[in-house]
Amino acid sequence: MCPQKSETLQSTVKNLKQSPHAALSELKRKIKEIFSEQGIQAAYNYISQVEVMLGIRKPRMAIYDHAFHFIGGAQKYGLSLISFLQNQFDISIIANKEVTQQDFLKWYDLDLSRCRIKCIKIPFYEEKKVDHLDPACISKKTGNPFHLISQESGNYDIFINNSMNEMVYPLSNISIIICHFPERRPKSFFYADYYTYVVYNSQYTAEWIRKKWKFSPHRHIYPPADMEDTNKNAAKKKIILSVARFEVGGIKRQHEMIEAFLKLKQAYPKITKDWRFILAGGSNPNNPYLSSLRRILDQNPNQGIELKINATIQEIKSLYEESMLFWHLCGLTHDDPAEVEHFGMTIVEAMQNRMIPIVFDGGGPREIVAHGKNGFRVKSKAELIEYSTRLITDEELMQRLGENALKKSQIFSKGIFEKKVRSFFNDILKIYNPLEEN
Amino acid sequence: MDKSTAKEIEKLKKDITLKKERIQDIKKLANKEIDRRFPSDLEELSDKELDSYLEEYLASMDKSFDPTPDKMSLTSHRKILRIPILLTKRFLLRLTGVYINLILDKQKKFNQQSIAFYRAILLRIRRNRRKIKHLDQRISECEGNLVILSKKLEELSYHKDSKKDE
Repeated sequence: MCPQKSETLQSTVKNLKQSPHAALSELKRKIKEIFSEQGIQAAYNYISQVEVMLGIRKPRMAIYDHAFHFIGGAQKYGLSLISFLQNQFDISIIANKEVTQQDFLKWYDLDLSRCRIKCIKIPFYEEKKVDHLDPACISKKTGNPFHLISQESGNYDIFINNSMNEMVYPLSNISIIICHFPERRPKSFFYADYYTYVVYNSQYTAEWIRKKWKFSPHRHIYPPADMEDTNKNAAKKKIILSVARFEVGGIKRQHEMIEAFLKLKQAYPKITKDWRFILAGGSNPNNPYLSSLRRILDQNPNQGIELKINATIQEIKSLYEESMLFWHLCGLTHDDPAEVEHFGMTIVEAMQNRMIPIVFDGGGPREIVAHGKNGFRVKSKAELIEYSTRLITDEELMQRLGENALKKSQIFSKGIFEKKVRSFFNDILKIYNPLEEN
Repeated sequence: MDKSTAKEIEKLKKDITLKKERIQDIKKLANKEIDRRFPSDLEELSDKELDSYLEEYLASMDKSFDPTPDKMSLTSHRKILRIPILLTKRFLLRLTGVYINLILDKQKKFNQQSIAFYRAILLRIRRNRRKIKHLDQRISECEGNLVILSKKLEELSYHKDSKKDE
């Protein structure tokens, strides 16, 4: 579906404002024509655009994510985006499980009180009694249960699909899919290329959209990082920090980082005597990967390694403020590009706190960390150890790189994100409602 | 804009909305065929994707290894002559079945052997991959040790030089 850009629409709207009687019959005739040529949805979209152009109502917008009921970086991205648009649009948040505005406030510190939440349960997943709506289990045999959302998308002027789920066909006048990473290749029920705009979060994601989906995405907006150091005078402690989810498959490579730290301690007992390694991150209960990490810590007591599971935002913030080095090895020995960090929000958050990142050399982190300037990019545990010892033993290098890291992190600030979002949606409104003076 | 025009537009929208809500089929709403076929280019697949591709293929081969036709595979699209045509087809199938099955049994055996062969190869590939992963880990350990050794060597030569200077 596409908004009408024609001169005739503009003149119809102008006539409706000036001599409504004649223009009304012209509008009815036009709608009949669209209905017979393009179907009922196109006719609905036409009259919706007329309503907005006449100023009868604000444009209606919906944002959908099948995982809004979980805490996640992608969900934070989508909700941060709409938080800046609450005055301009009449916004609905579409979820598949019950979730409230209070949840969003608690999880992301986002006030979305001017949006409404609509919960559309998907019978296919409800029958399975699962919390996680996995699109990967949908095939031709099962049919497409997400068409319930496709149908709903037709009730809005602008529909945003924020989920990693390309099985929602957009029926609205303007449609946007936010691609956090193209996990699946085009197969049954693939509709990403039907969207008016494809927004991407990093150049790495864009590269894989081109490779897997065979088209170029349209708009690049980096995710917002909002962990700026509020306590700039806080003394830094000898802490190496890792902030990443404890994924069951271990793709964040916490196991490898613990091994590297133990080796570091063993090889340089003097210089690493007071250093600690803290691994923070969210986890589901009964996580076997987390249990395996706990076993390693039990076998190696008093080594200064701590796990902080499901820590609050405040706890994470103070960890960022106190720590000196940041380790992130997601992507090391990966079998699939989806296992490499698509962007690396926590790396930026660490840099906002003058921490020096040592990260895996691949994916999104390559866009954040300039090797030797504001951190280091490594390809192995050996390099992680090498650069860490270099930093631990060189205070001046640590100071310089920390300042550079802080500078670089400003590119990914919430302010820049807001500016980009506003400019994008102003451009959309100029197309959708060309009569309005922006 | 006057109120009556706004009301007229509202009424018009209501009518369209009612009509739209009656349609559940997305293809009808979109007014076009939306589903397409996407051929997969094996060269592009990652190891993980290739794994699930192979699993999917083997599963479908498992289901269709037997080419012997059964009663259900005989069909007729004709309305009136359907039953006599089906009966004739069944009769012919029974008549020729003895000879055809001789060939099809061989084919069935070959298909079963092929599937078993593919499964064995897949197993071998997986074992080899595990071995490679294990070797990678060992290499990574050695690299780590090498870094530490070279650092220690640097320290030792530094101490040696400073002693000489004294």
